[in-house]
Amino acid sequence: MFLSKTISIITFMKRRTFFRPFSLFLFLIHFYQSPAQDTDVYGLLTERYVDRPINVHRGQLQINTGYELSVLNKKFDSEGKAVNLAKDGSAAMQHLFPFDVRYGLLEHLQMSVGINYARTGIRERNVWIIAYDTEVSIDELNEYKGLDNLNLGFLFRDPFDFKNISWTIRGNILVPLFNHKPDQPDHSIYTAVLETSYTQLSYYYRNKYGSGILTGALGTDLKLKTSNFSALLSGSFSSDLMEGTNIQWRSNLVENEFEYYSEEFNYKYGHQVEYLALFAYQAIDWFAVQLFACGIYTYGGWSEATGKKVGNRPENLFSGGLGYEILASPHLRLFQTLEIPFLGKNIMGSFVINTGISLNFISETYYNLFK
Amino acid sequence: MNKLINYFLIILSCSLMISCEEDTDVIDPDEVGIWKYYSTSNGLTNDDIRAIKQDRSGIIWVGTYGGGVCKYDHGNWSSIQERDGLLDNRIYSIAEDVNGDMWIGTAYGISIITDDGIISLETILDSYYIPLSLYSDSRGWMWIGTTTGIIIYDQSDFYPVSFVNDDFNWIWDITEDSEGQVWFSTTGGAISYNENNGLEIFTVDDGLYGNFVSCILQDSRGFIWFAHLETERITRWDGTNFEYINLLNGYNYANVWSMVEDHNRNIWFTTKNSGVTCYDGVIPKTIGIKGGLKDYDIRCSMVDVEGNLWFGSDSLGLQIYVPE
Repeated sequence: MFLSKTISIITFMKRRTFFRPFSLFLFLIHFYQSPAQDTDVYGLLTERYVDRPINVHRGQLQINTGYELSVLNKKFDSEGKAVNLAKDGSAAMQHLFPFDVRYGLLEHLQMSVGINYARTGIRERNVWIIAYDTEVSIDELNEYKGLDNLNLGFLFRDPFDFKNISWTIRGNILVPLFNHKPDQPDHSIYTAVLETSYTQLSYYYRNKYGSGILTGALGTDLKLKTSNFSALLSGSFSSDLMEGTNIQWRSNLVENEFEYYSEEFNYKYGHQVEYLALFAYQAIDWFAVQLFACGIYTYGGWSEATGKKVGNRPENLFSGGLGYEILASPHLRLFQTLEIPFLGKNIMGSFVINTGISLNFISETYYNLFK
Repeated sequence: MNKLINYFLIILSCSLMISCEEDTDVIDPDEVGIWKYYSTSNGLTNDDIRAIKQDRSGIIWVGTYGGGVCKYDHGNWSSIQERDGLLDNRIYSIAEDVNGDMWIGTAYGISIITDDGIISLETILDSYYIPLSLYSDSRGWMWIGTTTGIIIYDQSDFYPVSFVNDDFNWIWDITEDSEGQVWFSTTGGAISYNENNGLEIFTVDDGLYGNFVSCILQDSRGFIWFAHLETERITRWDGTNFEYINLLNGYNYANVWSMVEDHNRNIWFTTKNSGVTCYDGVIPKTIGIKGGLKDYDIRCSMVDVEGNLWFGSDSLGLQIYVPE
């Protein structure tokens, strides 16, 4: 669960979407018209970062994707003490590929669809047991791989068009379309009998990435701007809309062979509050730097994985970071952020590097239709 | 379009509000994965625990060696001792019969605690005996394991059974498998009984790792476990093949006093000098004083209906683990 939470601490730039490649191709043909420099569309596509509204413009298609590398090297315990996972060799990497598409239905209304693909392998500390006539070495690898829930969203910006301030409300539904149940583990055992018996035991759990629960989210953003500065304050609340069902694999070692069996259990992830404060400075017309602080707080939820309905421990994480955006062309924006975890409880903290591109197209016909 | 957005917002807000209703039956995560302790300082009459049994009404009966029987009834402790009519304060075994009466095996015979009072069985068939173990089977028969063999009570008469080899007459534990076969743990090996084949003896020659069998358990997967004293391993039998499991408790012998299966299908072994060991089907994990136990010598164990594990120590009372 911490994985989905960790990756969700992302700036507003990274809302994700899903798109079929063929449909994408058609859209690109339709939208890719080099804007003449004297049109409104050119002006909108080359808007400076600090001047841009929170949502995309009417008729604007925005495709965001990239690569996010998270180094899970810190674990915050129940008292908030940070444990360095690198010291015992159990630090892990998460590779995340976000993808989202946003479209401006109206000047103040944006629809979006997005999805993430992620892969992580979390290795537990190696355990070595020396017994009466046996030595055992135990490794454990928990892999999380696959597609997250499909994220469908809308964002509505206030219609007042004040010069220095704007705010939005947004709603999202995260639909569990993909299989979230873990595959059968692939444990292995190696035994050698010398003076004593030596056994190497490797647990390999193959989990999926998606939460498997229909989730709803409501959020709001407030943007303030001056000539070269802008500040964005965002907050959102999300919650499971129903109980989830999953399986857990157990194993039995019979005559040095693993036998597997699965047990079904119900669970809920609970509620999550996310917040973000982002300050940007437009250094040059095509280059903006950002400084941000963000956090998540999760509470509620439970799991019957152990046979009892046990509540989840509340988790929280506060991180900070910096980033930049380059307006490479009217259609292409490049951005990169760096995020460092500072404080937390009952959660893994990760050092995150996010590199992304944003492709932007505006249908001049559609944009002018409403003039 | 605006209407559509309004509807969407209203539905989403309502759904989120409904989802925020608190679940009342959720256990606080701080209340699991913890140990609780009971001793003479907070309810017990003696810290040497020899037997634990939960009756069908949920009361937990704890047999002590010197303090009689202690009863734990939803947070309250009470006791039954010699002064209340018990034959002796040294308890070896406890069982509940088909009528709901509690049979208490003491050093001077059995005391049966009924709603009307205590019935004493100081002798059976005019002989003194020490009831090391008691078991009420699915037929309604009470099996009494003594130091001189087995006594069967079929709700009307007592039938004694003894063996020529005296090692088989020390009956440490009695249990029943899913097919109604009754198993006896003895100093000389394991004995099984069913109505078709009668009594059958298992020893090292038949595949056991050791002859001294301290207790027997059939787990939910169908394996029969034979625990031994003074051996490196314990025996697991699938009905055809024997396997020998090392409990990985350092350089100590296995020395298992009792076995119990929890609600998550882990097998827990209590040992004479290594605390308890939890076996998840792949690797045993030993828990000692650092892991929350008070004592390394754990004589008896039980899982209550809520899934909590009760461990009876040789000299430091009860230690209860509430699993995660």
